[in-house]
Amino acid sequence: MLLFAGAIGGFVLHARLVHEFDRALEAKARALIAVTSREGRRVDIDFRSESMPEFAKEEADDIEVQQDKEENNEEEETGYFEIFLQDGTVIRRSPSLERDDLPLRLDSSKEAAFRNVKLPDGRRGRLVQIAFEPRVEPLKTEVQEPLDEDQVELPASVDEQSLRLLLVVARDRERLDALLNSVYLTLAALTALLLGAIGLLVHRSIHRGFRPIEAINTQITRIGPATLEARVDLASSPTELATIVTALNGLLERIESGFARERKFSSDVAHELRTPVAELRAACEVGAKWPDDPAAIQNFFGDIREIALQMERIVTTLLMLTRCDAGTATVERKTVPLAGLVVQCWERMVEKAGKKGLRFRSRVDPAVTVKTDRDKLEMIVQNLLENAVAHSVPETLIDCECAFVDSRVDLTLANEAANLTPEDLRHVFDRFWQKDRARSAQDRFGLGLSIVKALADLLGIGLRVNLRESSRFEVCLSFSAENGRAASGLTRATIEGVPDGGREVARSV
Amino acid sequence: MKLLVIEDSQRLLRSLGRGLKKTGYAVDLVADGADGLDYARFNDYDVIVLDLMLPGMDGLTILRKLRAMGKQTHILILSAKDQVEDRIRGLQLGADDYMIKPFSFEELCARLGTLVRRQYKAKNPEINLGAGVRVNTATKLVERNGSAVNLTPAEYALLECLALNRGKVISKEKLLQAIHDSDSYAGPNVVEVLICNLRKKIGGAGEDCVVRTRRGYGYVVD
Repeated sequence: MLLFAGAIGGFVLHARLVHEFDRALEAKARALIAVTSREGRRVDIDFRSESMPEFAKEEADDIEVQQDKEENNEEEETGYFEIFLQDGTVIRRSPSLERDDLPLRLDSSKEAAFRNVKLPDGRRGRLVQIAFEPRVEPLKTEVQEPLDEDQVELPASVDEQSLRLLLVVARDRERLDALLNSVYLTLAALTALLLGAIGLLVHRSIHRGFRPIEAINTQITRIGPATLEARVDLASSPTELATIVTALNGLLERIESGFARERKFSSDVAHELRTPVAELRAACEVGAKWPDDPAAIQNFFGDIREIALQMERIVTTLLMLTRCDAGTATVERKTVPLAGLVVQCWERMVEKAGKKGLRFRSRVDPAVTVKTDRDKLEMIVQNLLENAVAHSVPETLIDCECAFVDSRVDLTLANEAANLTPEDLRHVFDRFWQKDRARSAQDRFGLGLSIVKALADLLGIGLRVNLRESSRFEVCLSFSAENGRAASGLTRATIEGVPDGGREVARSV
Repeated sequence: MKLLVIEDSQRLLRSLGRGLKKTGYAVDLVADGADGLDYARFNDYDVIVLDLMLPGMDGLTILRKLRAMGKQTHILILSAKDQVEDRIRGLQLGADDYMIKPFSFEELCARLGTLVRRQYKAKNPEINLGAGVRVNTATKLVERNGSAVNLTPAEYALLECLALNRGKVISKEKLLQAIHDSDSYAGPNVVEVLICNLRKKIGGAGEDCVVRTRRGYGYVVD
């Protein structure tokens, strides 16, 4: 833009200066026209070198005067003029031309026509051509006086009444060109200076403008895994960046929370694995150091097998949790009868429950079916029953019932859990959470309800926990047809075909 | 030397019990925190190996209670808690050492040996009993005139107890406590049998014998 503006400025100045030069040239031409008159058949050109010295012949011996002029910077421009008849015959030329001619165009227009030419002395010049009718002077005397040096007799072929002369005036344009060059140079220098200044200003402005972003960048660079609690300072950030800073801080908060969760999870996994690994190592080291007692070695092998199975269960559960979290676990939906599934899962718990004197009652109608992944629902129910058996107060009842609420089917499992508080309900689905802080149960790791929640989320089954009458722990699985993207919907026929309350199936151990 | 191990993992208790007994310690094994506190209160142990996460009562509470009642028994915490804060807390509450699970059994034995020596203010693990008999409490080896003497764990435990209490007369009951766990029904005559076997193995009789009898009081190594 600046270059374009410079070019436009240069062009305008150029045109203006040339215009002024032309006006001056035209003025000289008009002056010559003014001193040209016709008296009868004589054309009188009253030219005086004193009044128009630029048209005078340069005297070779006038060197001193020339030098003085040069020293005083008063160099007189050399001018030329030539007056032609319409047929191109020269009737008068300036002394400066000597015997040379100026280029002529046979054009009778009275308008001044300008063009660039090469002067007789080889320099570049500017020329104006004007056609004019000389002023007519009345004859002074009847008697023809002899022609003086300013007078020219018209040829016989020329009609003096319709006489039109062609005046060509030229002058060198070296000073104009020098002036134009200096204007161009000044403009170029100014443009370059302006460009540099603008560049510097832009650079400084950008640098200043980016300073808050650099400050934010510095703050973000300092944030690492150990300093995730740090936030970008919103107060010192410009208003324009407030939205970005707020978004960044929100992102940092989510990352910090994610890191904390991952760290806790890793720490829990590490802690959960430390004890079985310690058992494994101690059994191996002691067994290897004193291999002389076959019975003890046999016990150690038994322990090692148990530890391996326990670790396998941890790894399998963690893998399942990871797949559920990542959404890579596959879901194969089919119609599953709830009552049969519950009974099948319970049968695996009969022996353990028997040792604690626990009784089980299922009130799920055999007609109730849900459309979901059978294997995963079985894992959910199995985990819930294992949890109930492990934490139930001995000699109590584990109750399983099915109820219809609006368009949902709620499968509820309830057991008597000692020492559980309402506060604990917020943590029961946390991974590795156990009410017993000593974590002394070697067959449970605090992952049972976590896997239940992960699988329920995967299958789109609602999950609620309640603590009634201070010790009755209830887990409710809620199956709904409108249950989001991974709904485990009930078939309509099934819902309609089931009577309220279902049928009571009592089992006791 | 007598140890108490309070650890809720039955499998770990089995391994540690067998290994430590084979090393020459008398070991009491307890899986519950509250029971562990009772054992520690009513028996004299050289070192207590204490887990932190225990049913009944957690390890730090046991530690605090024992120190509050003036028990000076050396306590080594053996826990899966590996954070620096956990270690600092345990040591600040009066534990003498802290080991993280999983652990090397050899390292555990070395640390227990150090705590036992510290109990008897003996920094040098090698004790010269005279008559060419040397006991190394770190390697649990006994030499006589440069040759290794093959002792059973109970015999070694008896000799080590006398060596660490050199110059002091130790009663049969005290020696019995040092070589058998609290649930043992062994009587004082077991000590007499072991002393007899020990004298046969490390040599010497009458005035030249390393282990002397103080009739009516017990035994002493001069």
